Amino acid sequence: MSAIALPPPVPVPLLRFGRAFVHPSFDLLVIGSLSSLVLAPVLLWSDSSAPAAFLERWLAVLVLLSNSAHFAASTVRLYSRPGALADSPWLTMALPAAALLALTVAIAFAGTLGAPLQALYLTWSPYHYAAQAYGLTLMYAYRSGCAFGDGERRWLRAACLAPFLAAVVGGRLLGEGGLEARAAVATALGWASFVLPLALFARRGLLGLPSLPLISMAVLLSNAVWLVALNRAGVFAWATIFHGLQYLAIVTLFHVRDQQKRPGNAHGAAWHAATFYAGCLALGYLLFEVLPFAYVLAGFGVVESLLLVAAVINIHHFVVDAFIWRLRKDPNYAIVTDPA
Amino acid sequence: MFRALFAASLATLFWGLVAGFAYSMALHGRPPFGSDPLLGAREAAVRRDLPGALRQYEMAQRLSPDDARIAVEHGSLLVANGRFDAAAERLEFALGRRPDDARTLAGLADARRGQGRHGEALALYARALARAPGHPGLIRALAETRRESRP
Repeated sequence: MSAIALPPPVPVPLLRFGRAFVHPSFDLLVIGSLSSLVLAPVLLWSDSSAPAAFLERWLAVLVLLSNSAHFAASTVRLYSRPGALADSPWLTMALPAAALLALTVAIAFAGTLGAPLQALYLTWSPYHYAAQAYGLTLMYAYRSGCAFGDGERRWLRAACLAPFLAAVVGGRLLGEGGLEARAAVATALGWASFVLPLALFARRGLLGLPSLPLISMAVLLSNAVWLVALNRAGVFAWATIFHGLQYLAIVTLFHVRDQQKRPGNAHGAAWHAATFYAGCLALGYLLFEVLPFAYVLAGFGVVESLLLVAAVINIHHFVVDAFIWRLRKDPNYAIVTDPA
Repeated sequence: MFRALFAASLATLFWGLVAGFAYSMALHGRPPFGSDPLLGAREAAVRRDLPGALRQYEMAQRLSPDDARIAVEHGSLLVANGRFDAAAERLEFALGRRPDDARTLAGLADARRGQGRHGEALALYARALARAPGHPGLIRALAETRRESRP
C-alpha cells in the first residue's frame, strides 16, 4: 500500500472571469464587449428614439474614434513591429501598392468593378468579426487554463461562424432568390449562434473541465448579438463601434507589451498606448476622410470615391489582420501566455 | 524592388492626401469630416444638375444595392422632377425594406398621386400620417389628393 497521500481534488469553479490582461472589469466590458450586451436590449426592444437620435448626432465622431481608428490600428501595429519590413516584404511593401492600384482601378471602372468589390468587402466583414471572436475566445480560454481537443475547437469555431453564416444567408448579398428558404436557414443559424456557446459552456461544466471564462463567453455571445440580432434590427452601426473598441483595446495592449519589452524603452504603458492610438486616429482620419477627396479632385464621383476607398481599406485591414494575429509563429504568443 | 514599390506607394499616398485635403477645404471651407457618399448627389440636386444627381444616386445604389435610404432620396428627386413612374419603382423597392418609414410612404404616395392613382396615394398618405401624426405637409397633401380625386 502506498504511503503517498494524494491531495484532495480542487473544485473547479463554474463561473470565473478568466485571466485578464488589464483588469477583469475592463477586459469583460471592452474586450469581451459585455457593454454591448448590456446596451443590446435597449437597442432591440426599447420604444425610445434616444439611441437612434444619439447615434445620428454622434455617428461621425464615433466612427472616427472607433471604426476608422481600428482599421488603421492593424496597419500601425504591423509597421511598428521591429523588423516588419524585412520579415514580411509582401505584406508591408507590396500590399499597399496593390491596394492603391486596385482602388484606383475600381474607382475608374466603378460601374463594373464597384459592386463586386463592395460585395466582397460586405461578405468578408462579418467573417472578420467571427474570426476575431474565435481568436479572442481561444486567447482568453488558454490564458485561463482551458485546453481543447480538435473536436471542441471545431465546435467553438462553429459557434463563432454560425452568426457570420446567418448574416450572409439571411442578407441580400446573395440576391433575391429563395428568400423564404434562406430566412428559415438564417433563423436556424441564428439560434445556433446562441445555443452553441451555452452548450459548450455547459458541457465543460458537466465533464468537470475548467469552464470557459466569462470573458470568452461574453466574446462569443456579443458576436452572436451583433451579427444576428443587431443586424436584423437594422442597428448594426452600433456593432461596428463595439467591434472597433474591442479591436483597439486588444491591439493596443499587445503593442504596449511589445514596446515595453524593447531594449532601452524609457516610457510607461500610458505613453505607448496614447501614441499608438494617436497614430491610429490620425491614419484613420487621413484614409477614410481625406483620401476620397484626392479621387474627387481627379474627376471621379463622390459616391464611388467614398464608398470604394472604405471598401479597399476594409479589405486591406482584413488581410493585414489575418497575418498579424498568427500567434504561434509570432512574438504575440508570448504575450498571450505571459503570466504578467 | 519591394522597397521602390513601397516608396512610390507612400509618395503617391502622401501627395494624394495633401491634394485631397486642400481640395476638400477649397470645396467646403472646412476640413473633410463625416462625409456622406450621397453628398455629391445632394449638391448636384441643389445646383439643379438633375443628370449629375441621378447619375450619382444610380451609382450609389449599384454599389449599395440593399440601401433603402438611397432609393428614398433617389425616388424623391424623381418625384420632384415629374418622373413619377421611375420614382414609384425606386420607392416601392425602398418600402419593401422599410415598410414603416413615414418618409418612404409619403414619397410613394407623392409618386402615386403624380401617376393619377389617387386611391393608392390616399391610403399611403394615411399610413404615413399614422407614423408621423399631425405632420402638416402630409395633412395638406392628403387634402389636396382628396380634392383631386373627386370627379
